Parts: sequence; C-alpha cells; structure tokens
Amino acid sequence: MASRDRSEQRDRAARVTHGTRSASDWRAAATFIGPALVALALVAVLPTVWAIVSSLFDWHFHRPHLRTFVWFDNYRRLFGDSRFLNAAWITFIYTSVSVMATMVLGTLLALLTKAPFPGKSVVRALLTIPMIMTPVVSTLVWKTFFFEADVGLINWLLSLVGVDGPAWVARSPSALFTILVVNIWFMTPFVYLVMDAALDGFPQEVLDAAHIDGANYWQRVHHVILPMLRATIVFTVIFRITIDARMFEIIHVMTGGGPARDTEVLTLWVYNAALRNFHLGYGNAGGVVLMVAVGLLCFAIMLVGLRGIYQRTGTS
Amino acid sequence: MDRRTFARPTTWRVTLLVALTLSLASGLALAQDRPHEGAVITIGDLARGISDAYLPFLDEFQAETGIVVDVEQLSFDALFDKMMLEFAARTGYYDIVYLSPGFMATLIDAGYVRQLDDLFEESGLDTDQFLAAAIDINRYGPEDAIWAFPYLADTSVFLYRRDLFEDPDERAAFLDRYGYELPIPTVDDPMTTDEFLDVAEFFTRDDMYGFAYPQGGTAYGNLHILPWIWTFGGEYYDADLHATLDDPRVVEAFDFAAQLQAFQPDGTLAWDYGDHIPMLCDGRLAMTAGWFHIGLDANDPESCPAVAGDIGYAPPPYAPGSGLDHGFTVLGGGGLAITADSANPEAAFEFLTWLFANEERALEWYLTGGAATLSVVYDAPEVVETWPWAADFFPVANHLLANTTKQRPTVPNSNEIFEVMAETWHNVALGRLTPEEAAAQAHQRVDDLLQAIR
Repeated sequence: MASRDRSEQRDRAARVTHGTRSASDWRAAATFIGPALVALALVAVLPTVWAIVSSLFDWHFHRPHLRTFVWFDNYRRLFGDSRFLNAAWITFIYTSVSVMATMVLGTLLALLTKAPFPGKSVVRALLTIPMIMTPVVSTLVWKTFFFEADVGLINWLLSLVGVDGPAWVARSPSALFTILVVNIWFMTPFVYLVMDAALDGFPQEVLDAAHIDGANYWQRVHHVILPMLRATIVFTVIFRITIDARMFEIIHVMTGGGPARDTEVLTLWVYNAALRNFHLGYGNAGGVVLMVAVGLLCFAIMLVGLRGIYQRTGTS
Repeated sequence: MDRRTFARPTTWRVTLLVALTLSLASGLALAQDRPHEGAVITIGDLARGISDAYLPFLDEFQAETGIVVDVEQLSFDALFDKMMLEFAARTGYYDIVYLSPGFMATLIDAGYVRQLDDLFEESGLDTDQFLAAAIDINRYGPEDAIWAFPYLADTSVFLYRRDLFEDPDERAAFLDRYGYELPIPTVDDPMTTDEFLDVAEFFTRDDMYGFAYPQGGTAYGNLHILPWIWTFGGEYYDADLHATLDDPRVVEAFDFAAQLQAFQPDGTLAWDYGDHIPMLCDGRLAMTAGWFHIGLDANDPESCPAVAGDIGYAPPPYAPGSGLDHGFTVLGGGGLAITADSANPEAAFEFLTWLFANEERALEWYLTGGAATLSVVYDAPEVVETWPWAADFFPVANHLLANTTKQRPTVPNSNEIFEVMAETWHNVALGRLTPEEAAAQAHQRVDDLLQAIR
C-alpha cells in the first residue's frame, strides 16, 4: 500500500516536472484554487473591469440608465482639467514625502530598538499604537487637539516661545503639512514593524565580521544592513506607495481637500467627481489613471530595486 | 327562546348571517381606520437631535396604525452615498429620505423622489398651517411643486453680545473712535455693512474676535459667500441660466467678505458646521451667526453658561448702495421626501402627517429636541415656558424666515457651482485672487457649468 502511494507520488512529480498533468491533477488544483479565484474575481477583478468599462462612458450616477459610449473622451478631458492635474500633483507630493519620511523614520526606529534593552517589548508595543487606531478618530484628535489654531497644543507650545502659530488646517501650505504629519505618524509603525522583523532575522555573524574589519556603526548600516535588506525595503516602499496614493480618510477628515483644493488628492477628486457631482464615468477615468500610474511606478521600482538581487540569487 | 326554537334552520341561519355581517362591518371599519396595517416604512435621515426626537413616537404610531417605521440615522456622507446607490439600483429600499436643498434638484431631476401635491390634496392637509419657509424650501420647478414634507426650516440668525453692545464704556470708546454711536441692530433698524465692519474691527482684540462664521469645504464656503453676494444685490445666475457673477455688486461682496476676514479667527476657512460654538460660548466672539438651535442654545445657561442671557438676536446687515433695505440669509433645513420607488407612499405620507402636522405631537417633538415647522408651535406658550429667552428669539427668527431668507440656487448641478464659489472665495480669503479677478473667474466657470444644463 505504502509502496503504491510512493509510486503515485513519483509519477505525479514526474508529470509536473515534465509539464504534463492528468485530469485528476487539474481537478485537485481547481478544488484548492477555485474558490480563491472566484472570490478574487468578485472583489477585485470585476470592480476593476467595471471601473475601466464605465470610464469609457458619459455616465451619470444619478441617471445610470442614460449612458453614452464616448471611447476615450473622458481621458482626453482629464488631461485638460486643471483641478484633476492639481489633484495629481498633490497626490505625487503627498505620496513621495510620506513614503520617504515613513521609510526613514521606521527604519531608524527599528535600528534603534534592535539591540536588546530592558522594556524593549513595551517600547515595541507603544510604537505600534498609532497603527491600530482608527484613522478617522486619530485624525480628529490631531485636528482638534494638536492643530486647532486657537486652542491647539502646537500653537500653545509655540506661544510659549513667542511664536504666533498659523491656522494649520485653514492655510497653505500648512494644511498639506498637517495631513502629511498625521499620515507619517499613522504609517511609520508599519514600516517599523516590517524592518524590525527583518532585522531580527539578520545574520549577526555578518555584522560581527564587518565590525572586525573595522566598520563603524553607520558604515555597517550603510554597507551591510541596508543592502542586505533591499528586498524588504523594496517591498515596503511598494506597499507604502499603494497605501498613500489611495489615502482618503485622513485627508477627508482633516481638510476635506481645502483650502481652495490645496489638499485635494486624486482619491478625493474621484469621490467628488463620481459621488458628489455624479460624473461616474469621468470620475472612474480619474481612478483608472491613478491605478495605472501607481501600478507602473510600483512595477518600475520592483524592476530596478530587485534587479541585482535576482542576478545574485539566480531566482529569476 | 328554547333549544328547539334556536335549532330551527331559519333562526340559526339568521343568527349566523347577523354575526357574519357584524364581523364583516367591524372588520371593514377597522380596515378603514388602519388602511396600511402591516406596511413597513424605512426612513433614511441624518443622525442628529431632530431625528432622535421623533424616535419615541414610532411605537405609538405603530399601535395606532399598524404601520412599522424603521429609521436609519446616518452621517450626511454615509446617508447620501447609500441613498444614491439604492436610488440608482431602484431598490425601493427607502420610503422616506431627508432631502437636502443642495441636492434637491438633482434627485428630482433624476426622478428619484415623488411629488407630494396630490397627497396633500387628497389628505386635505392645509399647507398654510406650516411656516411658509418650511414649504418653500421643498418647492422646485416651474410649477413650484412640493417635493418633500415640511421638516426643518432654518436660517442664520445674527448673534451679538448684548452686554458689550450696551456697555457704556464700550459705547463711549466706539463713539470716540468712529464718530457715531455703536449701533444695536434690530429687525427694524439693522446695521449697514459698513457699520458691521466697524463693529467687527472695534471688538477684535487680544482675547476676542469681532465676528466668526464657518467657511470650510464646499458647503460652508458657499454658505458664507452666497448671502453676502445677495446682500450686495448680486446673484449667481439669472432666470435663463446665464452666470451673472461678472458684476460690480459681486466684486463688492467679495471685497466686503475679504475685509471682514481680518476680524475673524484664522481657522474659519476650515471650520464646518458648529465649529464656532465653542468660541461663542467662551465669550470670545462679539458677533456671529448660526442656525436657529445655535441661537437658542447660546442663551441657555446649560449650554453656554459664560454668555447665557447676554446674547442678542439680529437680522443680517444690509448694503445701502444695493438699493435693498435688508440683507440676506440662506434658507436652510430641508424636508422628508417620499421616494419614487416606495412601495408604500400613502403609508409614508400618513406617518409624516400623523407626526409633523399634528399640533400636539409637533409641539412635543419640538420641545424634546425637534424642529418647528407648524406656525402654531412657535406661538405655543410652552415654548417660552421652557426657554424664556425664546421670547426674544422668535420675533427675529420669524422676521428672517419671512423677509431675509432665500432658497440657495437649485439646479441639477448645484453642487458643482457651490464648489466653484467656495473655492473662489477661499482663494480671495487666502489673498490669491482680487475681488475683481474672483468675480471674473467665477463667472466664467459657473457659466461653463450652466451651459451643460441650459
């Protein structure tokens, strides 16, 4: 019996190796993967396809039965729409600054807490608190407790040193600064956790060897740790870009896109265009542009960032 | 009657017939009293005090009519998004929805809500028993049809610190600085816009601002600039849907609002609904404006202990150069509309009538946190017994509703027009546009939007 099982396993392995699969192999694969594929199609593929298709229509949310196929007119309109272009620019600034800042801060925190010290687990737990808070709640706290112009903590502290603080949320560019601060505060713990986990598994002997070779701390970080964590860093950057480029709650609650559209990012633009002004097709065209732009950027980062690693490990 | 007599076929049949007739008649009578028994009405309303206040009535209504009422209370964004999805899919999920004036034309234009004139007519309900403003806010179209049941009629009452305005030292200082008496505004003698600026400037000090009004986002950015444009004699567009913003009166309005901005807290450009209440209640605002409940609460010792009893009520300032003898405020509030896909429109109307058109219940609703749309509620002695300061408030509030309020521009793409106007005003307040540039730019952009619906 046991020898028959082993023989079947050998046959299956041989078929897989040579690219030939039996009907039962396909059935087994379908049983395992099928439900996941169906779920993925329902929650990810269908809405994406629908968004792309609807972006080719002059389609109004409040009159869904009246739609006209307009080919790529919505896309043509987008690139002459100053409000859309402004939103794209704000999204670029917001995402770039936020991703860079969280990567630097998260990595530094992970490096700082790498060595064992008393109460390390408590510090770790405290550092992750922002991430587990509801974005809407934490944004409201920042808005009313910290950034409020008249009774906020920041302006009170500034007044102690004789500085008249601005109306942070109501002025430019301070409004953009506030949403960046909240997002950096909110997302740095994520980067910290990923980098901390990566550093935990980092081979100590490599660092010891570098130390013996005379490398100081920053040289070890710069020439040993960061290059060896490149795959983790690339993955984290990509993940962070996809989160920040689609950020909605923090901005909606903190500034609502104002003042004068100075903090209106693309997600907010899509929301306003499709759900407030009912230009469903046009709004979705903006959403598709955002999706394609983020996808291409992430692909490029992956291509450039992981190239050396693939060549080294020969896994590509 | 002995047993044998009753057992006779004729007697037995007659008795049965009488019993059947009686039970049928009583059943019919019951059915006439409760014609919609078993119906379920779903209401989509905003989560706030006035909707909380009608929840206690639902059980009584169900016991009386057999109609079950479910109320979903959501934030504006959540309600609006859900409502639109249900409408677009034509599910008939909601029977009644809160109809905000900003989106009224869009929903009517799309055929999602039902005209109510026929139901008013069939029920014999007298629309004159309601405040005219409460009906007017729900009118739309060339025939001025009624599209929602009166639920909330509101506007911005101007509030001022009566104690400061009447203080002899303050009055002397004002006279000394400006050369005329510090004006105390009344409905018969409102301030002029020039006086308003002087007073705002006079009271702007280290610990106090002369004036403050929320101006954040599309809604409040628009609610701030629109009444000033009206006050100076301007309009967003004319009857033929052509923009009318490239006009010296609109320039004057932008200029006035920009000057007034110097006497307001910096944060007002991001303030939303009610964000000025803390400063008002702390006694750091000499003047402000607010919806009715804000005005009433300001003199309530429980809500605003620091300034309660010191708040005066006033009409908006007017611009003598405009040729108009009063300023303007935006008619706010909204109605409860019956959806076009409702399976139970009559039952829905029965509920609205039962609660909001019944004097006793409407008064109880108002006294427990609701709104007043029946004229009789404003005159009820219980109101002044509950809130003694309402005796000062209601004459001004009624004057505003009858004389200074105007329905905001209502076209299917109103929200886009409001976005343009709010953004333009924010750019003026931030010093990026001069009033002249703002008027010209807004004119072009609003006209482009109107072109789509002309």
